[in-house]
Amino acid sequence: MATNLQFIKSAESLSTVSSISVTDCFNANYDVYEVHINKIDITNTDWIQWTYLDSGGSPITSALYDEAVLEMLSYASFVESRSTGRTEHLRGMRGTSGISDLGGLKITIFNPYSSSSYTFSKVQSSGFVNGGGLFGAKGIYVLKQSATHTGIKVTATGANMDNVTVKVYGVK
Amino acid sequence: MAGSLIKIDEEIVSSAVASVELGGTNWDSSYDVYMVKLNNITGSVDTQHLFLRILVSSSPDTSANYDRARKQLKADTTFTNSSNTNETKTYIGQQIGTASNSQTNAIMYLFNFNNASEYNFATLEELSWRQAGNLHGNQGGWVHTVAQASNGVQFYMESGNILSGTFTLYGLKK
Repeated sequence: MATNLQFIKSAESLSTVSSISVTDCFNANYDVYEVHINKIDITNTDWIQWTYLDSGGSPITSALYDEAVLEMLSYASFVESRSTGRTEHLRGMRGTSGISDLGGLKITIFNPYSSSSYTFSKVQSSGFVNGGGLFGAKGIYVLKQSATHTGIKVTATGANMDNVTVKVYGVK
Repeated sequence: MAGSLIKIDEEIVSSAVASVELGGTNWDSSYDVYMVKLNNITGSVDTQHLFLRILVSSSPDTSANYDRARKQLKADTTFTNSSNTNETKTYIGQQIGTASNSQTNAIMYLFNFNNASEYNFATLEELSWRQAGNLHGNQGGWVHTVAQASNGVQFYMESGNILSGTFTLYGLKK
């Protein structure tokens, strides 16, 4: 029996990069996608963030990104974070490289390819902050642009990264 | 969980309907866990919630046995807790309407729907672009506190009709 969670494309870098993109992964065959990152090495304690790629493959950096994120920390009080008019979705997964690395990030994306709808997404993630502990996040996000988006670009807030794989699935 | 998501039922709404049902006569009881996907759900009346009821023998259960507990995430203001007991339905989408881009998207997982000796549970991750032009969402779940088997879910608007959207039911293959 055919599965309805279908692998589309991935991007991987084993060497140091400032960003990693999965191009042409959104298309007319799907309305809903899952993006999985199960490991990233970064040089500082940082957020893993993302932007979308437009129909020409360029990152969208207009101040059109809103988000609301519940940060769940094992070593401190929970934090309710929210912001509007950002130039990226900032709070995806937070952690520090080391023996623990960054645990995992799952982004569910709705309508990225539709030219008649905003692009919505939600996140579940877990990371580990050196000197602190477990850092979990659950968030909701919207790119307030009704346009066709063809891919995703992942970066760390202020650092390079390596040993990273980004996998994109369609939910048919 | 690649390779394990099997589509059971789907309803694509392109003109106004009072309600949408997933499952019922199309229910497949061979799964332990089900996933419901809501995509681009819109309503005909401004500032209305999207509601859910379970189907028992293919009919909506209207009894006052729905409990909910969620954290409401809001991009524009302070987060809030959303909880209540003994309601006759449960809340899914949040105050959507006819404004441009106003819609609800959500993923739910359903548990124990085929077990007549357990409550029906669900997790809920939802986000709505509200009529008011801001992003709100729910992270949490709901339960129907009657030990009975169910065979689907029904969606309807607090007031007015569902105008458009895709409702999909999957089973998680064992």
